[in-house]
Amino acid sequence: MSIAHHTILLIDDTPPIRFFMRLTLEEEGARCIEASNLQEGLESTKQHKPDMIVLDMDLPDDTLFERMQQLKSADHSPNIIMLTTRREKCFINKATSCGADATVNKPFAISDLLDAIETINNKKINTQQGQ
Amino acid sequence: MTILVCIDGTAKSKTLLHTAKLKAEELHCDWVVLHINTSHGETTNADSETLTSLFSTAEQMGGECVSIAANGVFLGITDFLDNATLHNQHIKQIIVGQTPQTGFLKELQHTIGERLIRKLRGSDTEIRIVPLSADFYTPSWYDRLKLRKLHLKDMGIVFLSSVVALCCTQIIEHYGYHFNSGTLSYPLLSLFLLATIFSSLKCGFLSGVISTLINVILVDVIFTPPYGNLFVAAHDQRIGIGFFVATSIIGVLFGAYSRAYNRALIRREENALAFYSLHRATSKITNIPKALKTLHQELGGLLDMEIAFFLPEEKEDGTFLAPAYPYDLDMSDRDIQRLNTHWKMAHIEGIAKNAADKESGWRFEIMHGLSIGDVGILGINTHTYKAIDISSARLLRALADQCAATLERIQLSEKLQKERIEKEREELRAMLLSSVSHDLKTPLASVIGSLSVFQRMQQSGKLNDDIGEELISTAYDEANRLDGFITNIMDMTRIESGDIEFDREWISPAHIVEKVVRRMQYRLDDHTLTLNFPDEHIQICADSMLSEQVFRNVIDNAVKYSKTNTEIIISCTYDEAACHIHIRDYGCGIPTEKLNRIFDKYERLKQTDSTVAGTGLGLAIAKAIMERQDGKIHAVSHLDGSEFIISFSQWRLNNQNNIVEEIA
Repeated sequence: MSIAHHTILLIDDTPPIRFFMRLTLEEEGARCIEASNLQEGLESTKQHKPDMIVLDMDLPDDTLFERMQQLKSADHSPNIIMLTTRREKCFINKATSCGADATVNKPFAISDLLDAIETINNKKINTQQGQ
Repeated sequence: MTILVCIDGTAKSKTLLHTAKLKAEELHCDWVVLHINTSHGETTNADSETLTSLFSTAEQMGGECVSIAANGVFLGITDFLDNATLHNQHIKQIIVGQTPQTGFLKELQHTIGERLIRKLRGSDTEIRIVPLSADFYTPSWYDRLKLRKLHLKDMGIVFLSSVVALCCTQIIEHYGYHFNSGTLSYPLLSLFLLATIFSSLKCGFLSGVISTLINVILVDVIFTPPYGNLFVAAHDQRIGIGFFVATSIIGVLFGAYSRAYNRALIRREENALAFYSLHRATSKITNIPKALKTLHQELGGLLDMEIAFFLPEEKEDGTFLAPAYPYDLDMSDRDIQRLNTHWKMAHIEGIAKNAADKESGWRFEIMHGLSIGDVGILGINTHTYKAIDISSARLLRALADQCAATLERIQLSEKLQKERIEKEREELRAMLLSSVSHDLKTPLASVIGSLSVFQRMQQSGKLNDDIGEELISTAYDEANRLDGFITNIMDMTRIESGDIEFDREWISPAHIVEKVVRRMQYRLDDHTLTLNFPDEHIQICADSMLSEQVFRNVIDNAVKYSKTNTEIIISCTYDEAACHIHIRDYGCGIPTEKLNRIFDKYERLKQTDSTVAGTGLGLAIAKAIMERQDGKIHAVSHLDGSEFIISFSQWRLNNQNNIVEEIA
């Protein structure tokens, strides 16, 4: 399953990172929306209902985890890939419990992100087939 | 073979545990700690806490703990012994503590130890009674009537009171009443009796006795026929004189006792006050040396004796006591040996005898701490050997305990403080590490990401020139940013460690600012910059390279925190104290409560609301540099932005002459 015709929301406060992610993802056929903070990200989620969200977990935000949970709602549950410099187990576990489906450690090559997207998509296919 | 040690729920029982452990080690046998619960459920929380801690201590030391309920301690112990005999357990030694018995009736009763000795006479179980307190001696009522040295003042009062009584009789006689009627009259005897009681109340027992003697002689010689000598002719007069003497002596006893009692009360009040002042003087102190100094001063003043504190010091071959205050105490080797013996005895036997040494006069009091054990020893030099009476001894013990409480409190709080600081430091280190790693990895992520996209697109042949250029320039900019971060961190470390040499010279601040602005032109493109320097030639004494960095960091900060197209004004003012460079921006400003903290190198780590990139070290570096060259940097918040003021304390107005001089 390719990511063509997917809507992907990129939430990151560093413009160069958003830039290179967007470049590659659009080349792969996805539609990209950008947000520089979680507030914007939440609004975009409501508006555009993305299939997937790439979320920078190093955003300076005290309510990161609470807001992260709001990205997924009952009627719309996008997959979340988190980007982070942090490697602590408790942090990763907490993020996972708050809805993160995959982790990409910063710094990363674009192939790492594409791999993560593919893994999630494969999982999705398997679940669908299982059903 | 077992050693049995009987404890009660008081902290003093710890001594018994030590004794038992030592004995058990000596005999290579087990030891059992026995507590008899006689309280019928009335144990207070404090008691049971002490007991629990005693039990856990005992278990740590290798003892076995047993608590049984019984109607009495003695009954409980005998029950336990009977039970042990049934189970073929041989009790080799029983260790019991002994506290002083107070009260007349209690003195008659046998102590537990004595009763055990009587009960177990003939068996091979030894009873060892360990004194738990050195206060064995309870003062009896007659103790208060100790004969003191006679002072001249006391004698004066004695004579004066008799003379006054005599004068009174003469005055009464003058008005027509005659005492020499042949029988001793009531007014006469009352007057002299009053004089005697007054003397004893005022000056004590001995003075009272002397007063009695004088008054009897006076009555005998002046008022009883035949007059002029000590002979008493009439039989009834003799009896009268005898009664007078007896009444006087009893009066003297009561008077002197009441006086002693009164003095004891006053003394107790004085002691209470002394404790209060000692407590007040030491309650705020937070370090040991200062506490020792204050205690030394207070106690020295209170006791009017030479005192010294000895604290244990770890050495290769064990713990020894060393003078902690005053350090340069002149003490003989013998005294030091006595001191250490005293310390060891206190640990092995519980209480060491603390009689003063007859030669040197040093008397040692163990300072018992409540929670961390014995703190050290309080030494009191009585100089000449002087028997310290029971109440003084008690006072000394109480003072030693007060010192222990103070020292213990400080030791505990120091320990706590140390742990807290260590923890905070650890947290800060972790925070710094995570922040630094975040600040370094974010630009690195841009670099690696951009380059990976470049490579990927190049391989797939989709790369066009525009995109390629943008990717490369992004990577280049971010790599430069990364370099800037690393330089900042290195600079901070170098300035802090004093690794940077400051090469100070007389330079013009305007020149430096212009130079910095020229170099930062690309950063300042979106802002309107105004330079406002006075016409005078001002010079500051500073390192030009490092001062440039200060300006660069502060200007960079102003640019970072203000919107495009706003104004940045750099101006220069001076007063007697310093030359100030003001950097004013019209940006988002600084909350007042953060004004001082923005120069803290950890500040950025603690805040999460900023979306502006940077290691947050720029201002910290500026501050560190300014402090190293006797300058200052501070921030002021305005309604419409903020202002940074960089002050150089060494400055001069450079007129033409100076320049000429310098050229010459």
